[in-house]
Amino acid sequence: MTRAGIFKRRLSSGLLVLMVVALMVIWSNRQLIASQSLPEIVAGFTPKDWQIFDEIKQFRPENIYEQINGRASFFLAYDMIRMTYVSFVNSVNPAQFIDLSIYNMGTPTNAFGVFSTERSPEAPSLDIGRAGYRSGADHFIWQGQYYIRVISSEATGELQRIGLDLARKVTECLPDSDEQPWGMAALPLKDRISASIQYVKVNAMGMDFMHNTYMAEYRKNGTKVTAFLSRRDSAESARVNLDRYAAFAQKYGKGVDRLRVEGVKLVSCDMGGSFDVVFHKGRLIGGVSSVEDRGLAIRVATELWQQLRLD
Amino acid sequence: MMKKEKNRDSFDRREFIKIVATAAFSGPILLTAAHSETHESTAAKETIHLNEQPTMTYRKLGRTGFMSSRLVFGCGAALMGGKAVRLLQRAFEAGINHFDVGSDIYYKGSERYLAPFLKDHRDQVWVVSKAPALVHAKSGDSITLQQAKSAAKYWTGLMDASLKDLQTDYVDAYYLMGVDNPSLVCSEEVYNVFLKAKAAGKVGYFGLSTHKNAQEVLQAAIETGWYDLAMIGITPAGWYDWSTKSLAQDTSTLVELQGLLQRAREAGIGLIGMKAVRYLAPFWSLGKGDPAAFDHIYGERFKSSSFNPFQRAYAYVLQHGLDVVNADMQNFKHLEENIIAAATAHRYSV
Repeated sequence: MTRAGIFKRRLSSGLLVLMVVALMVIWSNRQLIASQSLPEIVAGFTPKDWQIFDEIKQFRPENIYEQINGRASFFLAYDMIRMTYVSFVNSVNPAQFIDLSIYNMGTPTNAFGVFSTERSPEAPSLDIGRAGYRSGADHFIWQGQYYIRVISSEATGELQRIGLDLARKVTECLPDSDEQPWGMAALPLKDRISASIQYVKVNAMGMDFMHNTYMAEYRKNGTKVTAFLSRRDSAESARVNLDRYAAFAQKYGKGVDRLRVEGVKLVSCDMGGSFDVVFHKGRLIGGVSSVEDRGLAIRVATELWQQLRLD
Repeated sequence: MMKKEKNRDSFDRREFIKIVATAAFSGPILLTAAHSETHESTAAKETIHLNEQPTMTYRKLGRTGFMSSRLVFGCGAALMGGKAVRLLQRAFEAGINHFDVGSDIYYKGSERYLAPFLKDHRDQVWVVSKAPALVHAKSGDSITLQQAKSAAKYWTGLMDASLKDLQTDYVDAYYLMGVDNPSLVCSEEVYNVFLKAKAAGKVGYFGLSTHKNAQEVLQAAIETGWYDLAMIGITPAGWYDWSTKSLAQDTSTLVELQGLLQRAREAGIGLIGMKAVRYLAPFWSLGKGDPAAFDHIYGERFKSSSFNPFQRAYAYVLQHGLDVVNADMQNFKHLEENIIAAATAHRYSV
């Protein structure tokens, strides 16, 4: 074997060892949560030369409002179970702080819901957890059934670095069941704008009857189109919901047309300046919302129907 | 119970259709009614009129001179993720001209989702945003100079971010959000950064929102003479306190608080009510799930109204010292109900 070959082999062996060690560290961190309480673990992540302000607090649905005020109803709508909160303050400059909030949302779907609804689409993404992004020196991460927020008092490079390190450590210690929210796979990937998918549990598009809804943006012929999918308990329930949608459009819009395109039954709703085109397929209700070009709306809704697989 | 629900809903639809239809066919008549209601408080010289429609009533907001729709669209929670963005146009068509939102640090994404609507209607609506001036201090603590400086810097940083997210270079007012500490209210450091932002043309008026220790906060705001607007957590039964998710302990009723509210108005402060119905709301919406909780407060006129409990509470606070009321509306049904309450509250004048 040549010298270069030996070097390559040693390098790849070294890389393998490093990967194994890294995986072991992550695995052992995740075991921590099984043996220790989350506040204990979080306390161990206090940055050097920083201290915990007051104490680590945990909030339940009954008292989460004490910490996050009016936003509590947003998290409760997604069935939040517990929130762990701690504020770290700089020992030298107490005006500097980093607030860490870890929301246990019960399921990955609910955690994805709050994460995706709060997400800033333009914010740089982070390679932490299932998905994450940074906004200034603040970090937001989805990891399994957890949603993690790390908020810094100032958008400085130093606080960004400390916040990122904290976010990474916290995320690595949280378990992930790997359960996938159904809508992420159901909404087609083709032409989907990256990081645009959201899960809206209630009041999707301002309609009190639209719940359990996934929405995503697509780029079609240079135009952004919002598509959605909502799942009901049965095909009959989906059909009834579609009728409610049509009734809603009749009331607030300017008219409803029922049409058939390439064998697909659609409801076209003129919302006054834009169109919703809606259908049901099995126990799914889907379609596009607020598209100015009616023809485009019909075409994209038809494509969506054709690409959907029934479970 | 079923019957009651049905009647309530049918009233809503009927009443809403009636208001809208009357506006369409007899606009001037209802418009006259709406304006006569607003005469109560329109004595100031310069008055700003924006998007006034016969389907809404208006009230001047303190020294700002702005004739605000009595229903303020609380965009913060509603626009997170953009879910209720469609309601904005409907609200606008119904004559709502005052849109209240909050910093991205709090209501993630709401300002960005409001931006396209503002782009189309910026000259026809008032827009207010707000952000916390964070300090690690309890309600009764006196904050230090360093804390005040940090809070001021943090707050103005968020104000700049709000302008960017709203895609505008000017907001009509910017609030200190969720203030519970009177010493923060009286902080010259914070006021000075507001004045600097105002001089730079970023903001018109100074305000605060409070729903904890609110009475002390409002008193402090009155004493400074700096505040143009105060958004207060209040119900027909008195102060609402977020720290207990209940009525403030030993609170006076709204009727008994009229003296304080009058003093605020005399100081030129426009009063915006918030959390007026939260106590009645279901648990998941942070309420007690008891729609009848304020029934003992109402007199016969309010009791006999066709309002549902939420509409009744909104109408009551509007008729008892609050200039306007801010409501979080996340679907069309609630928007309609609240429009009716705001547009017809004056029928139950006391």
